[in-house]
Amino acid sequence: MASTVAPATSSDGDVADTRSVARQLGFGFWLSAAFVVLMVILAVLAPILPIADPTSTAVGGQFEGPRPGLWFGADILGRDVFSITIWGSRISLLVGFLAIFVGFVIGGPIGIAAGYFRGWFDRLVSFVFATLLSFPALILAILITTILGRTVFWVAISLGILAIAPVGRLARAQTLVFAEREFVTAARVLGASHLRIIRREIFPNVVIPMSALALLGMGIAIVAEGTLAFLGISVSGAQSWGNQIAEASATRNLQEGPHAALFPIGIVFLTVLSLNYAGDRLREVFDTKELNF
Amino acid sequence: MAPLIEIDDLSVTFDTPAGDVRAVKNLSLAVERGAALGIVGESGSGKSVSMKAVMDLLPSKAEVTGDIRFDGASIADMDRARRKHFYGVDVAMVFQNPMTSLNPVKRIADQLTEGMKFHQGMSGSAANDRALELLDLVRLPDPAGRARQYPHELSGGMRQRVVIAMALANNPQLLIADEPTTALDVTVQREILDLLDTLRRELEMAMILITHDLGVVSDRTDNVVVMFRGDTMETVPTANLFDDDRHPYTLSLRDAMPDITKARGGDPDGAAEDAHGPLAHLRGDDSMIRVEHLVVDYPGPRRSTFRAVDDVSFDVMAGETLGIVGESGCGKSTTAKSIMQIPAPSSGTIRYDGTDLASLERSGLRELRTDLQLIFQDPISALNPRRSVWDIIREGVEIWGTQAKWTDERLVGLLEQVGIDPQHRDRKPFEFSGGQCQRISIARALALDPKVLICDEPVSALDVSVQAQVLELLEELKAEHELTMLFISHDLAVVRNIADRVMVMYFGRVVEIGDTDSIFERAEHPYTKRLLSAVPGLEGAAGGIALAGEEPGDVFWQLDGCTHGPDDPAMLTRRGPDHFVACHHTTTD
Repeated sequence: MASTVAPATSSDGDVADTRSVARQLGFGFWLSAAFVVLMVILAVLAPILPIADPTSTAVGGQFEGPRPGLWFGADILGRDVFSITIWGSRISLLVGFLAIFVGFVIGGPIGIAAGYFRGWFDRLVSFVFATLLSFPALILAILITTILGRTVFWVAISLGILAIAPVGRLARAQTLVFAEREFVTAARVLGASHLRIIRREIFPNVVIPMSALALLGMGIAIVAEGTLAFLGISVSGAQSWGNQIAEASATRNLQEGPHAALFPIGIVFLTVLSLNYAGDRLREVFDTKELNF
Repeated sequence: MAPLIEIDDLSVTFDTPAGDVRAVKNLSLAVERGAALGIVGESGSGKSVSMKAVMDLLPSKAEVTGDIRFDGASIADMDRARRKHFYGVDVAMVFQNPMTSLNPVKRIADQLTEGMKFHQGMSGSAANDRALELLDLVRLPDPAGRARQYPHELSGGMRQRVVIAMALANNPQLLIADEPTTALDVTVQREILDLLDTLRRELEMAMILITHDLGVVSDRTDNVVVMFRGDTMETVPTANLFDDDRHPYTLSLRDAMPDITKARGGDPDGAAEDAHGPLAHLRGDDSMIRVEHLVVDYPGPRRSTFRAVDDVSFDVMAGETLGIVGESGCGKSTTAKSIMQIPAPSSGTIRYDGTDLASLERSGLRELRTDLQLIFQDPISALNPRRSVWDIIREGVEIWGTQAKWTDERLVGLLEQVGIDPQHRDRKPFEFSGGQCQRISIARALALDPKVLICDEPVSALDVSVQAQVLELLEELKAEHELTMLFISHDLAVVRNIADRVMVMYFGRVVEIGDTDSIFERAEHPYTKRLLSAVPGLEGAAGGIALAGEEPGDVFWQLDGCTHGPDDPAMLTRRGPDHFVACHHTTTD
């Protein structure tokens, strides 16, 4: 309350501001972000990392436990679980990223346009979104991958299609909030075109909650890929996290070498947790930012 | 006997990331039984925080020191049961916004009876009877019917009555009212203040009235505490509040209040001719803006329409300021904004500088955008939180292309002119105060060198002292940039100070229009009179005038002996050289 009268007069305001945003995000955010970045680096560098070929058998003994040099132990064929996990992350992260990318590129603009222009277009879009959301997601994904094939690309597309409606709905809802604001009217009064208003006034405000959703969505897509893998309909011919866990979770394998499943599960868990946490923090900090008046 | 409540050396400190903020510093006050105390201050003065400290409503990060004694007993020493009784029964509070202090999904009766059942252990039917009694006490018409309704079915004034009834439910000895009328229209404000005053006397309660408006306390308190940034400036008997030997801050508050009684000069000349007709008050074809028979309909539920503006005509000459006054929902904003085609009018013609806007293509209309600019009520909503001040004021220039006359130097000059340090141009809106944001908004509007400025309640969201500065700035800029202004406000005093001509609107129609002095000194329409008489600090000046109901009845629009029916309301009759009044019955009819 007292802060409402105090004008911002400190001369180093901008510097202090960026610093405080970084601090506001908190240690947890940066730890999460660091973990995700680490996973991405490992995935990208997998071919040149000094790790065993994920396909070569008898690197260790059957279900050999973790030891130095064989960090995650070996699976039923004696393959290096650590190496499989790293190589699996290439597929899983790619599928997660591509899926959310597809969802955003299609759902985002449609949602923003619907929220901004309203009218018949909004009604149509809302109806389509509602229809998409009422499909059982898993059935839809199974349908698409069965018809189109089980390559990385098509698995990502099928998950991306599932992301369109939730992403679009958030974009629409956020746009509705800001399209009502008077700075949009002010821009119209200045003579700005609709496209310019969307680009300059709406988009910068919508992008923050959207990017938070992107992080959350990537986590969801990674888990969804795992679900597809469990049903045996995820990416074929390449080892994803889902495939790896599904394989290591066969009853006998799980009894004799639980570590072969638990280590990749742990990595998936940490990755998804990090994405969720980072997304949540991002949204919390930037949502209140404006109200801090 | 000890005063009913006594606050001794109360301080409240908030622990914030930016360091300790002392919101209230060493406040001491006392209220006798049945007395009324006003606490006056601007936002950030600590007036609300201090009362929240009394009510134990502050967040836990607030550190409260000092002694609060009720009926001679310190609250800190009370045991649990006594304290519960104190907060629940002895003291009651009424908050600013009746829209948010009622639960939208519960019926009025249920909200009222809840506290009684809890604190007094009343049975359901006894509590219901008491609820009806209370609604009757706060003069809510048809208590039994209203009790079954939900809050959204009641108007703002009715809701505040319900909130007051809730506060009275347990027969409090002290009522704390925190800006109880700030969210309400001026005529409703008066009714609520009158009600509080009457109830206080009837029930022999003490009252603490928190407000930013000196006018509000001057009419109905015994003593006034003036606060500024947590400090108590002075405590004075209300009768002496306007004396000249007051504390400098009190004087500055008083001076910042726009004075409704101040004439702008310029005397009416010429004899009243008998002009009579829907467009009688339009003054010729050389007007800057000329609006004829403007109608704006909004789509309502189930294909119905709501007529926000109903056959309104007026004109504004170049360099003139037209004030548009009326209560919320009277169509004053819609009227002004429809000139900018936001929203486009449903029918009627709007001429700008002789050009009929309806005849223009979209591109032609867009060209006109640079001439007509808008300033909004809420400066925070009007600025994009993600863009810097420089981006915001440069937006217009970016859209229209940098032309020779629109240089960056000019924009820097404009920032200086509105009182924003150009060195702060890379900051975001949230780093500025409300008044500064309004200045930025004004700079943006002037960046394209407009000819007409439409100000939609430009100072309503600002503190009194900031309000005065912004008004002064607008006057200055108006002279310098040779602006024509439409100034919309619910605050008559502000309009009197800035407008050359005033148009009074009621339920989408013009009820009176004329030069400022005629409207303020020789008002004829009962609605204008009611508006004027409701201004705090001016009561009794025009006498209380009661209107029959909240709906415009037929009787309202028909001048005695006049042949026009209620469907033909635009008839205005000349009453002075530049003073026109809509047909109506006088109250004596």
